[in-house]
Amino acid sequence: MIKLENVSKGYSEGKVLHTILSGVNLNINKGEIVILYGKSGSGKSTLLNLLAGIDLPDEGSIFFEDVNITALSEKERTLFRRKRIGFIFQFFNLIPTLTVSENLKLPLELNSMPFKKADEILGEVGLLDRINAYPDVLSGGEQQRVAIARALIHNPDFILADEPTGNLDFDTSKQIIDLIDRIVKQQGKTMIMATHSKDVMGLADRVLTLKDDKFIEMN
Amino acid sequence: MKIIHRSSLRYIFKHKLQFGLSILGIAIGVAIIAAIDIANISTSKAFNLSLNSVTGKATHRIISTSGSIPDSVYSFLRIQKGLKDIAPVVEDNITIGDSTKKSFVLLGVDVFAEKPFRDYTSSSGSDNKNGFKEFLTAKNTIVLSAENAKLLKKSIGDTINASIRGIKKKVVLSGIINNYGNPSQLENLIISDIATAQELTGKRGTIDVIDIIINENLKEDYVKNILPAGLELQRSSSRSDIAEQMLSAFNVNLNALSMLALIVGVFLIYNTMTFSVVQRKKILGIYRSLGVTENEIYRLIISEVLLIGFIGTVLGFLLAILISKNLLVLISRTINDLYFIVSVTEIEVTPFIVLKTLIVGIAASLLSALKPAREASQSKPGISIVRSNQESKILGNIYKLSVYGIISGLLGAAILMLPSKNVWLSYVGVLPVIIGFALMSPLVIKVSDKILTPLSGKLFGIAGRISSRSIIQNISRTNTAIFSLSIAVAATVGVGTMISSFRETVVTWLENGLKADIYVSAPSLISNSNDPIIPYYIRDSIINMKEVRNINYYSEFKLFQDGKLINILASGFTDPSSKDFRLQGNDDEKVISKFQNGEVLVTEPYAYKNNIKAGNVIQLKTDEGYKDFKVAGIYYDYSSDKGFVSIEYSVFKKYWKSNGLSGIAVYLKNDKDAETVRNKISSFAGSDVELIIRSNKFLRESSIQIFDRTFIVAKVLQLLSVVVAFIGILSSLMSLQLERNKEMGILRAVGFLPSQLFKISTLQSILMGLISGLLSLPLGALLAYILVFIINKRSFGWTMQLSLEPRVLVEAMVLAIVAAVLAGIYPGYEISKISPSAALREE
Amino acid sequence: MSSADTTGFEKAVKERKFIFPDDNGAHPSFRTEWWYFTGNLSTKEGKNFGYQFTIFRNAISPFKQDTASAWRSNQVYMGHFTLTDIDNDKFYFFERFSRDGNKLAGVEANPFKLWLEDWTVCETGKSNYQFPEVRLSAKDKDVSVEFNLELLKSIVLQGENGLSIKSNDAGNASYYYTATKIKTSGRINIEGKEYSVDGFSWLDREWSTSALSQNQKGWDWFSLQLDNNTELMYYQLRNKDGSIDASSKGSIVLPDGLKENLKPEDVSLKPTGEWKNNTGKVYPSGWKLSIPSRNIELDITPAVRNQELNVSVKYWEGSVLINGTYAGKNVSGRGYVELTGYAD
Repeated sequence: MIKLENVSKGYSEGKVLHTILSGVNLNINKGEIVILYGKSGSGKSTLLNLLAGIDLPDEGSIFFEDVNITALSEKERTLFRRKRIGFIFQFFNLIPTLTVSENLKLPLELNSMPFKKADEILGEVGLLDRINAYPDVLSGGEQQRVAIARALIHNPDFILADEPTGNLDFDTSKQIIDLIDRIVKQQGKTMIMATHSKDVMGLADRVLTLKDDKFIEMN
Repeated sequence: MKIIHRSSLRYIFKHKLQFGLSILGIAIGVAIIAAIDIANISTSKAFNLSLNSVTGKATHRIISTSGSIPDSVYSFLRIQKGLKDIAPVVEDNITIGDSTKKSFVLLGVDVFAEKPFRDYTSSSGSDNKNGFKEFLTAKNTIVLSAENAKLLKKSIGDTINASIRGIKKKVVLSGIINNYGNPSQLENLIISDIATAQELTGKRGTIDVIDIIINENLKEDYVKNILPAGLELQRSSSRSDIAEQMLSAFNVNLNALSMLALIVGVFLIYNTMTFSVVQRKKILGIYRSLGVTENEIYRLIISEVLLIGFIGTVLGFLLAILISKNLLVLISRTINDLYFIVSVTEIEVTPFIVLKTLIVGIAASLLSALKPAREASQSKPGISIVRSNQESKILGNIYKLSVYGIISGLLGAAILMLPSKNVWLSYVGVLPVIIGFALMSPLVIKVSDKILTPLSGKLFGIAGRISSRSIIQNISRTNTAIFSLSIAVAATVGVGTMISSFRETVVTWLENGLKADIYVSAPSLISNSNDPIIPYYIRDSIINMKEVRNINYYSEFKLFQDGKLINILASGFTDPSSKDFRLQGNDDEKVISKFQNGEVLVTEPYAYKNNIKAGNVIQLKTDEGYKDFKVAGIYYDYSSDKGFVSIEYSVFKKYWKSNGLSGIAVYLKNDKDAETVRNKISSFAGSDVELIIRSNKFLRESSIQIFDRTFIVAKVLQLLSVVVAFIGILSSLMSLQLERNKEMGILRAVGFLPSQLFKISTLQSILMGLISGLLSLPLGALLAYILVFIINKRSFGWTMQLSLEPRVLVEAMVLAIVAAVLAGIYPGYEISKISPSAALREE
Repeated sequence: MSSADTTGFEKAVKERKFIFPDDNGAHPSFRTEWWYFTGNLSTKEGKNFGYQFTIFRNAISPFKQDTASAWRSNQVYMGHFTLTDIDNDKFYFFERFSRDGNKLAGVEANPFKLWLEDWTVCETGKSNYQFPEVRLSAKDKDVSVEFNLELLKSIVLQGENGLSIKSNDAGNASYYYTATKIKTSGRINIEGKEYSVDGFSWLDREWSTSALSQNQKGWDWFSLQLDNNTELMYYQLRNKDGSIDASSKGSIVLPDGLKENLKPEDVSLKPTGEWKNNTGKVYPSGWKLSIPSRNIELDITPAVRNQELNVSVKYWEGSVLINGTYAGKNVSGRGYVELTGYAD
């Protein structure tokens, strides 16, 4: 379960202060898939960064189950992220100097987990034949499948996704949505996804959108 | 290997050229430092080895303050005082050979006293049945090591041409030492019976040294008490101590100069690492979002640098071994010119040098990586950072950086102005000055941009504008490149100016000092020092020549006093108005008359190093014990950084024994021809006496030649640091080119020709060179000032006139621009080859 | 150290006239020469000592170069100094070398002075005989001696009027004279302990250019001082084949100073024991010496078994004790024996 209590965040540009989030309260249940919907620059990424422990809120607290990540040190937050959170990016963000297999093994290595899971999950995303390829020879859809596999491989409790289909064509997007639906839902992961695309709405248990620096539920 | 390390390695391999250049840069920097160390240590090892072969197992030596000990003192100590472990030694330099001359130490020993001291002198396993008999009883017989006999192609019974103390001699090889444990120990030794040595050197009735073994049975104090007046007991090691003292300033400066290339190399690594971090910001960000901690990123970058640094250091060390042989020749020649005779053939690589090189190389690499590593560790997870953040960060901080720069510069100035005589400290003070300039350089680039961009735009259109702008747009990279080059160029200006100032000063000094028409001196193995071996009759004959107006004459003489060496110059003149001292102050006549009345003069280096002012009293150990001498004045002298105490000749004769003169300066009557007088002098000296008789012009020229020779090493080192800077600017231009692929691709796409891209790139190199050049001029002038007035003064004690030549400044500008343009050719070529489509493809 | 080349040196080929005190000094035209002091001494309490003090002169070449150096030399001096502490069964020996150059060693005849660095024998007064009263002093490490020596009998010329032929080859001979009875008194200091001693010394003076012939191996030399005021010198030259060379000879000096020569056939010398040195070489140790024609029979025993000088040329030279009969009367005495050529 994720719980945001009175979370505010802004940034300053010169002398002007822009508020992005103010007094956000939010509960996300275990196993729930929540979509943050909105235009670019609306604060979705800010929220994801806060959830990932990359940024700290100006005010308020964020709880992952019992852990108040806003009270952790930078290092503790990183270690929390390493173990408990999986990331899916818009631009896939595979490491270009590592092969597909090595990209998958990286989270396993960071968490001191056995490597054998890499092949298994590659099978699941249907890329066993690309195991020794470097990312730059993969298509966008293939890259994103690897990225999804990477986000899940170390069995995190929470998946954070930022426009996972934002850089893909329609057909590929559909495949990715299916994949997420299949794997994430199946494994009962909690997932928070930011998007400005309506195509993925079908995945959501809940859709939130930002209004007056607060998230409200959309129907 | 961890996966992230694998990723790093692949990154490095992908950018082989950049990292390769970094490795090369650090390798050259390290190579120079290690080569200088190897050369220095080899020289001192060779010197100590030759000392040891002379000293043997003697713990101490008895010497005379005036250099020679009467024979009777030895018999007195052995018979009356019953000292057993003592051995008499006559020692001198001897030159062997007909065409190619090689200098040796002639060691005259008494074999019957040798056993406790030098085992080789009694163990001579010679093939010559009568060897011992001839060695002991026949005239001019000598013994060589088998290696030297082979080298000189001589066998037993052969006659060898030699020259000792300016006299030609023939010596006969009567024995060969075979299979002595360490042949290099005998490398520069020629051994003879003590009687033979006395005859060959003309040291009648005196020996030079009594070796002695001090132990629990024979206490130091006891020996000191029984020594006759004028004799001193000193530790055997004090000779090498004195040699080390003499060389210390020379070595410090050599070491400091060798750091120069490494400092430039550090900027190079810094540049490469900063670039690689910036380029990998995104990857690092992904790492961070996958949960790699800041520390792990930091360590990752450090480990990359350790790898590069290690490879560079190892390569550098191998390179050092290659170049140290050549460097050794240069350095040992300078030492022979200025300090003492040492013959070095073997390079010596000690574990200490290996360790020091490793530490220096790796520490320098680490130092240059600290900032990039910190930046890397602060990579934001998740968000893809664009580089311009970095650039705008620098641009935003330009004024702050400049203030830090000024503070750093002031700190350096403060360190330099500390009232200390420590040479290292002055080099320590130079560092903040350089760093201060480095911090100021973004401001200079910004100002240059303001001026150059419109100018370049006017001259070269849009291409000119792009070239100039991109320098400031990529300031995080261009800054280091520009600065590395400007340090190297500034060093060129500084060292060049220092050398030319020094040269100018010496030339003026020689012109003022060398006023006599003819100079007679004894042949000498050390260029700036002459043994007092010209017989007095030659002086007297010269005075009596009708062509001669008056003469100055002098004896050089080394006074060993309380473990220290003082150079004494006994100086006499027939007419005080022809004195050739250039005195400080305006009281020449008064000072000279004091000098003639028994006071002494000291040279500027002597005064500086011993804190002596006119009117002070110094104590000198005469043959009658310590005597006080008042210092009448200080005079300029650039022949020895050790300095001289000058004493009027008759005063000198009163307190010390002397065998002859070191030199005679002859002033001719107005209409007399120098050549005729020259021939006359050499004819009455006789053909066996090797006198060097030179005109003042010739003497001046040969002095300047030696001067120039001494600075070859400095020039070589300076050149090498320019090479490293060149590599630096090449590497950073290549980095820039890599990053600007996309920008250039766009330009190609909108219709720029490859030749135009090449032009942009080249123009940019020229501009960077220009900025470097401009930056290097004030820094160079400052370095010159520091070198001339602070470092030189502290090292050698000389006052020099700063002569900042416009030529040096122009050369510096040309050097900077040429280096930059040369370095820009290859990246420019690469840029011009960019295909628009490939460059525009999304990563 | 010495080469076998004898060209240019004078040789002892015929009898000569000895002139004193000049002949106490050096004869540099001969290759070798020595001043050979041995003696047996006792303290008042009866502690017994023996000593040897020898200075050898060795000419490396017959002539000395003209030279400007005081060190130039063709004469090398070697000194052997031993002390036998009989009661403690101890033997001390020292060797040193020096050239004569720079006055480090040398000999002067009148007044007599013989020195090798700080080992000296210096004239202290005239005596009634050919050799003056002298003071002998030597010191090395923990051992020092200082003796006053005064001849009690005239010197005797050994061999034929001082020409001592060593082999049949002409010139293999030396000039040789001996002072057989020298009153000796003085001090001995061993490791800080000082003893006042008295006794008798023996001086052999010999110079030659070549002595031993090719087939001679060494010699056994005896100097015996008997308590009946008679002294006996005998040496036998041993050939390499083990035989005794016919040139062996000796002399006996009677109480009145008269000397009578001994031929090898007069003397029977039989070893009664042997002693092995540390390298396993065997020396005879103890003898029975008899001269039947004079009814002399003497048992000679080393005072200390190990009196070997382990120096540049190894030999045994040591104090001996004598017991026996002389013309029917019991005699005892002390002496010195030198054994060379055993340790090669």
